[in-house]
Amino acid sequence: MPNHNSEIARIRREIYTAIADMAYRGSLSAEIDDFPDKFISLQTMRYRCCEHKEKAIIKERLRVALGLTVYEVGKHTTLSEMAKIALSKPLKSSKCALEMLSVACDRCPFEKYIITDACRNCVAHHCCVVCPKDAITIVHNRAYIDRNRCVECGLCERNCPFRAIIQVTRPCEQACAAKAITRDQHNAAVIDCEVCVNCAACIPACPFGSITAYTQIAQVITRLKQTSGPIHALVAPSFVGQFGPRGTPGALRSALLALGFTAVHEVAKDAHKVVTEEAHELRERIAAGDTFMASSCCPSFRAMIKTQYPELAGSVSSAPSPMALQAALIRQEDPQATIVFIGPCIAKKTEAANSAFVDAVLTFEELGCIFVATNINVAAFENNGALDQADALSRGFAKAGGVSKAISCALGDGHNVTMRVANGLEEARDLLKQAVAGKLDAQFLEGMACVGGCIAGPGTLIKPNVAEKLLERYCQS
Amino acid sequence: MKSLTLEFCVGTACHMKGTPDIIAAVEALPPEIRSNILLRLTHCLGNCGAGPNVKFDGILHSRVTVDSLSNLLKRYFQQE
Ligand code: SF4
Ligand code: SF4
Ligand code: FES
Repeated sequence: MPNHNSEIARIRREIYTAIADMAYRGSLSAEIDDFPDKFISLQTMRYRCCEHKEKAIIKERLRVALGLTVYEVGKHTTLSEMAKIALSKPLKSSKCALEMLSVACDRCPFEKYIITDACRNCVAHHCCVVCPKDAITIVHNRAYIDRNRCVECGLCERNCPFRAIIQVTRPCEQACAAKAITRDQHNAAVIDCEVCVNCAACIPACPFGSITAYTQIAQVITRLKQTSGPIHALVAPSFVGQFGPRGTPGALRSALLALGFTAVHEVAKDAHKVVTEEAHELRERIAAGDTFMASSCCPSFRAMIKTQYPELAGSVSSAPSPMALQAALIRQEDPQATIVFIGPCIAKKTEAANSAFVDAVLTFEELGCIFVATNINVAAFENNGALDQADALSRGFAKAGGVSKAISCALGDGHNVTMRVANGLEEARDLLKQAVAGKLDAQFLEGMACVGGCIAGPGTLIKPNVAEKLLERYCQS
Repeated sequence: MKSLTLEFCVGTACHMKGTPDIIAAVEALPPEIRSNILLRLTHCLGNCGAGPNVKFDGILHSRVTVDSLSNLLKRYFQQE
């Protein structure tokens, strides 16, 4: 779950707002080179060994916020050159949604068991006695674990009466349900992009803020400023409440129009078509003897199946995600349209990269920073109605269990299809393992990478429990 | 116990800097204190660069955190 008020979130939002501000004033190339100096001297707190390292980290954060990978820039590329590269790229999402900043990673301890100062070098030496590999000896008056022998069984930790042995796991590795985080030869954390499902759980998990997502803030703003052709905002149903108690659906629509969007759509508008299609497919598959079908709307869940359980790939519904469907419909009606998806999700950035219709993705957080930079106060607009038309069941997709509920309704009263919700990737992994073994006790498996569903996504601005209540109210309205 | 009016800015600039957390902190106060607080929301207090902004008993406070607000509250309600 994202922590909306951490120091990491504060720094990230300041950087996004600064980029948005410079892009809006058209002065990115002129001003961005001075930004790290300015930013570091404004900061009263220091986190790293020296100012130079802080600046190097800020420069990397700016590069990623500009949407550039390490492969697109050289070692000595200046920020202003990067800004030029970023703005000259066609408006298109990148394949991988996030990056591990090697310079920011603090190389946290990775030995699973660590002996602390609480060790008293006692007489009993329970640790040495219980260790099945004789990995523990006494060195300098304290227990010492020989890493070459240790098999990380944890017996020493459980048997020390002083609790002097602790278990530690790197926060990033702990958060990653896909097990995509490993170490390089210098022990810096690295993400294996082939395994990563872009769920972004690692972003709030790393206490050093080493992981950060590519954004298209500068590109979208630059496109909004050109008055060449229509640009459509496509808003995910989890938007409700994200911009505060006065950031009502009607106010958000007005704010997006004020920002320069030509039209504002709810992703949920035609999602009932996805539901009908998915329910129909489910019925057919069951009739044909399939044991189960998995939902297709969460890109991280889908990626987890593809990379880790390829034998189940055929069980994923072929229905498009509501985002993909809605974008295709908009493009059909308006072939010139530029389409920007706005949602809680970082994984959607990769889905958009592979889509012919979605040109860019902004998270609610990124959009909020754009509003701040352009002096658009969502709360100042009038609350005049909904964002767009959509039915309650489709809007309910934003919450874990919502997809199943909609499918269940579409199947009709008295259907006997069994359903399970994989609420979060950890649960998804367990249920998919059961499916591989043929032991899954459900015919429909809804998968949500974020615990709670999209309302708890990494790009949200309010607590999921608050968002849930507001979503329910909006669905009933 | 005396009563208190708190005016929170829920404008986008303040919202992005942490208004949701400080409102949640006030809502979570023990009922005997919470019941003496009148909570008002406003869309801008005119100091957007230094949010989150709160008018505490009529006085503007900027860069408010959960901690700084709880200190203000303690001082206010102890003054009787
Ligand atoms: S938690 Fe952060 S700093 Fe620690 S190893 Fe992982 S990425 Fe590096
Ligand atoms: S799978 Fe998720 S937690 Fe793991 S590295 Fe990728 S984004 Fe981070
Ligand atoms: S938005 Fe809070 S003071 Fe203006």
